Amino acid sequence: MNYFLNILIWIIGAIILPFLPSEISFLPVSDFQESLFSIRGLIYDKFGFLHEFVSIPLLFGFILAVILGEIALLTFKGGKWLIQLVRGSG
Amino acid sequence: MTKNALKLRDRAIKKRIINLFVIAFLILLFPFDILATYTPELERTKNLIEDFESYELGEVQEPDFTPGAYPCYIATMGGSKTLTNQSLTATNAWTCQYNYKFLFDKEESNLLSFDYYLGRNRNGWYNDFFSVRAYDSNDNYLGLLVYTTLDISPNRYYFRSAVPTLIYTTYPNRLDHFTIEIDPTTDKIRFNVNNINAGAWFDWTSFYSDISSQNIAYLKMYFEIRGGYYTGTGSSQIRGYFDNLYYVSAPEWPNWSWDYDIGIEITAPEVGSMTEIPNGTTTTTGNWEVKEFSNLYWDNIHAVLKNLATLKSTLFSQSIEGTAGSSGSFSIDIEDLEDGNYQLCWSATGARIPYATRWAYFYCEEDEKTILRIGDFPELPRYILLEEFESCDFEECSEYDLLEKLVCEIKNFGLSLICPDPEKLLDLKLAIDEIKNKFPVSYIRLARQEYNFLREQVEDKNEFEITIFGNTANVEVNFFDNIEDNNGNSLMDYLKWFFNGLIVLSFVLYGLYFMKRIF
Repeated sequence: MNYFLNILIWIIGAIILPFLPSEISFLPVSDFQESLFSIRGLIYDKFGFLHEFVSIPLLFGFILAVILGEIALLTFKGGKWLIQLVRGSG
Repeated sequence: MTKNALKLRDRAIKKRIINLFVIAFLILLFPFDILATYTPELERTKNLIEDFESYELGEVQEPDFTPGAYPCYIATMGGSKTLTNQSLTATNAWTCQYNYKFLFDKEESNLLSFDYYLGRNRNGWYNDFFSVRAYDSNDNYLGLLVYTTLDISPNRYYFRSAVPTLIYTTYPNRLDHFTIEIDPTTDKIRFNVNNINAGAWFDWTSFYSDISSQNIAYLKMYFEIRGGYYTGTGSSQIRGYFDNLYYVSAPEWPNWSWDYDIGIEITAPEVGSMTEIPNGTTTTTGNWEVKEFSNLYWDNIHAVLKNLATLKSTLFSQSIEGTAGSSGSFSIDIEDLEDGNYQLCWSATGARIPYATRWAYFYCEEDEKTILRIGDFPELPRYILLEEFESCDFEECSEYDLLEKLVCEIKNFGLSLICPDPEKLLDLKLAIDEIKNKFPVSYIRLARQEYNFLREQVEDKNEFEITIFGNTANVEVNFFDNIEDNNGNSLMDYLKWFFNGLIVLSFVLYGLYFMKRIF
């Protein structure tokens, strides 16, 4: 188990971490946080009352699942398209 | 290559990509799974810290409840209080005797106080003795007057005897022994000096009956000594008072066990939290509370900051009183502290009701440390971080015979396969923590954090703002709340279930549509 953990730690430290940036240049963390804050304020003001009618975790979970699903699908199809393009049959 | 062969190859590539995604996902999940499995559920245990002696609070005395074997203890000079049982007819008789000597010098101070308490002897009498040496460079006589006073809290009923309970003439530098007696049969109190019954009996029965119907927390009894020059003027009086002699009313105290829990809880900062205090901050504050069930009386509660790297503790005297249910705030002057990580602890001196023996205790949360990170704080020490992980109990095999040793080693090897080293788990946790600060995890964390804030906020919101023709109004949406069925469910509940059902249905339909688009 310890050997396995060593490998995992090495993978994270030597392979994953060096390639992950701390933030992306066109959307710094501070800007991202500010926009999230604004969105939160907007949702709270305009749609906050919705919790009386629906379960907010359920609603947000549904929205999040749809967004993530669409992104995953787009990535998958994009990859597929790219492969076909490289292969020359797309 | 034929069209069919190309199709087959496409399918194979698609399958491999999917497999690759699934494997990558499982690999990423695995460390979290291990952490979730081996992060121990810590129990809230509260222990007496062994290095208490470093706090210079005075002697620490372990309680000894063997009948007749109760030692006495004075913790500090001034400001402390002692408790004893109010009921003079209680059967838990015990002896408490000590001989406390003090000097007082009119040139240095004309006000003198010290902790004092009255023990109850085996005959049911409360008595004790103390010694006074009146010190003065002149050869004038000194006179000592003893007044008896009673102070009741919380009602602040105050009584003082009109005439001195004891008038006594002594000489400078002579050591006089005073004895205090309380007769439980007559409820009278008397001062004697040098083993001579010199004092008159002071009757406090009538006084006590006046206040017995009140819901009092305790009675406080003062003894006051006035010393003056017997030069005819009596102008230079030296006063001392025996502060804080308590008679505690006898409610139904809960049963308690001696577990070193001093009953003080920090209410701010939150227990187990980590507060970062930036450079340049001179004080930090918080709130404490004495638990309701705590049958303790603490007269000096101190905040203690323990440096987690050096383990050196610094005590900040608060001199606050704490009975069960009381609360207050504390302020710690951190200006002179070195930068670093500190654990917030407590110490207290006081007594457990109904016993009069005094103790000083030190108390630290062992599992949920409240940590203050002061200044340019370094990383938390590794040994603190390691406390999160439980190590496996490997059996000691060296004592066994050959065959048993082999079995033992195999057992340990098997255990080592499923039970990782806490050091390794910590390394993994730290590595994963680093990922948390990287894109995209850091962004996802922020989004989750905002989502949680929003969820908490909207739970309280039951109205929304509408603007019609420039007029703004708040509309409440809980208008169906008052309509309830026999089971207590409001119409709003049914509406909510209906809309939730619609969401679930939409989710299922979307899922089917999604699957169709994939394949």
